[in-house]
Amino acid sequence: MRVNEAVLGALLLALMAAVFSATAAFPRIPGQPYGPDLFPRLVAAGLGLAGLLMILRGLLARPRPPIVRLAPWARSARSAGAIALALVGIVFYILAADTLGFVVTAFVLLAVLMLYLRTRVLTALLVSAATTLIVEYTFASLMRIPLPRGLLVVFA
Amino acid sequence: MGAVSAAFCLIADLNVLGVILGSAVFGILVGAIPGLTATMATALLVPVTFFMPPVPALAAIVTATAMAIFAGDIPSTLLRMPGTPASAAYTDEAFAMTRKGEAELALGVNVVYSALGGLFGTLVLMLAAPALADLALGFSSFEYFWLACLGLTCGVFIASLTPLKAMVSLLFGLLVSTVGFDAIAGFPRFTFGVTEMMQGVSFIPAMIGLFAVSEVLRGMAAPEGPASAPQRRIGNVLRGLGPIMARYWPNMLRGNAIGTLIGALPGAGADIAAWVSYAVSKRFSREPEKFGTGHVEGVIDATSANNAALGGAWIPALVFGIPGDSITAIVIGVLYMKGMNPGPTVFVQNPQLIYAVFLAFIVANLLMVPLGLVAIRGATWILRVPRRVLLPIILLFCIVGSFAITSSAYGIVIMLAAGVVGWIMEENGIPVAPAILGLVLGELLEQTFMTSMIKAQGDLLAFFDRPLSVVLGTLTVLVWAGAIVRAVLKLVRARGAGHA
Repeated sequence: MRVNEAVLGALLLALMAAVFSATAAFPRIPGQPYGPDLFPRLVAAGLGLAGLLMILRGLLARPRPPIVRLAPWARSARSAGAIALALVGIVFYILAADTLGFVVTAFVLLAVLMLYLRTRVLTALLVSAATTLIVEYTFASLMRIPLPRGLLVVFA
Repeated sequence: MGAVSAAFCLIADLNVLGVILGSAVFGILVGAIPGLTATMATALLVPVTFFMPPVPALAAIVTATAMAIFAGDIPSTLLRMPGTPASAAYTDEAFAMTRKGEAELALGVNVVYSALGGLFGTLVLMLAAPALADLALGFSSFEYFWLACLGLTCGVFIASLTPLKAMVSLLFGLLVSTVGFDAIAGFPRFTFGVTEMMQGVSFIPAMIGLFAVSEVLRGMAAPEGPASAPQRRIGNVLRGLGPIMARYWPNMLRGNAIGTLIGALPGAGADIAAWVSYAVSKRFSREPEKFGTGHVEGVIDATSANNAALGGAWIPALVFGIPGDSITAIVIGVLYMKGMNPGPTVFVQNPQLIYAVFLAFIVANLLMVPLGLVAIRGATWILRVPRRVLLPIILLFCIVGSFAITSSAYGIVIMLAAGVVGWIMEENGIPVAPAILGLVLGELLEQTFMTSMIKAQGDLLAFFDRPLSVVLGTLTVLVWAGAIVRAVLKLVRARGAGHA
């Protein structure tokens, strides 16, 4: 999905405005002319300048590009769905891992994604199970990372 | 000499050697699978190395990246699909060799010249880094400020075809780096009331998001690559290399030199080194008409260059804490987390660590030939791993890796946000690497800028007071002026063409 440069430029200008208003309340050290707001404001000003240039380029470009040009994936419901599913999968992990535990959450995440991408059912289930257990073993047992145990707390 | 023998002991440890072997295999797999890059290999490896002592951690990254850059040549030569962007420059040439029935020769050239290139880059790193570190000991905040500016400038103007978009990416990275306590007053900025944001945006999850999650999202949209595995059986790839080496040694040295130099320039890495070397090779060749028809000459230049660039990139990273490419940008993040702030003082305080990195480079490049030969033999098998199984697994690694760094969902949230941002950026032709450069260098830039401003009491001329700061400052200003002049000229010329 390619957005017209003028739109991106306008977004950058908005970002600059947001930074300037957010830094307005930053405290100053008495007797010191430069406070914590100086550097972010300089960077934001640079972003604003780049935004202006992008608006110019977007408006002057001939032939004029559309506001949004759809990428190949956006024309295929299946591809767009795959991207959405990956994002939903990450959110699902964030929300569910503490309750369900790593093993269940990771297995569901892997299996659903693989099946959506049309992996054979048996392959998907076996590979998901094996990957989950290997990751659980290396990260939780070998590296001692406190992966959430959730439902499996009885085995801990 | 004490530090060198100490470094030997650090590397010659069974655990460390095991880590090197493991990361070598990992690097070859990631490099050989198209769509997965050497930077991604580093990003996925970092959470694992996070829990190791510094020497195996650094050795793992060195080995994995060296192997990945070489292994990218395998699918590039056999399938015309570069395994990593660093092989893209000579993919057509190498594939043309395969079509002429010279796949063995192309692969042999790839593995041998990659290893030699890596050793050359290491040699330059070993000679240049300590000397530069001596020089850098005398730097003040002014010099570091200019150095950081110069590094960021290179990242924008050298590494990218679209300087404006690269600059947006860089400034965005710098802006994100200001999240959290500021260096001068200790005031928490842009934290939105989240306690964990006070320490700043966690670097490794952000990088996993930008480099790995965005890649997975792109892959999910088109999981089916042309998966036809190479048909031919691969014979002895080392046959016929002797005459080639005797004839083309100047090409190798030229590729090595260009590669190391471009690697050492901040912001430009192995992929750009390969493009430049290939172009130079064609320009100065006695038979430029053969280029593109499966001629080995350009492949030698370029494959020598991309592995040499890896060593080169570590020079500014170790000496000044300014990354030479996106891989060393990650390395600098790792060094900070291990409490070893990169910079000239590491050479004085922990020389054995520096020598251990050098040794790891040598071991990795020596290991490349035997492991590379095995990988070429197993190419048929490696290239058959389907992406529809691989992508979900990589996504899980991203999640677990980000979680491991913060031990909380915060890391995963940062990863998710960075992944979406990185994906949108790439969709719109905005390169991701400058943002990482900004994120890594932001703190150094702000700190040296603020210190210098306070020292100078606002007198901007003080930034040019010291002899070295004059040189670095003038250089930076010149690069900027040159870029502006070029942009204006381009505009004028486009106008003129429009009126004509």
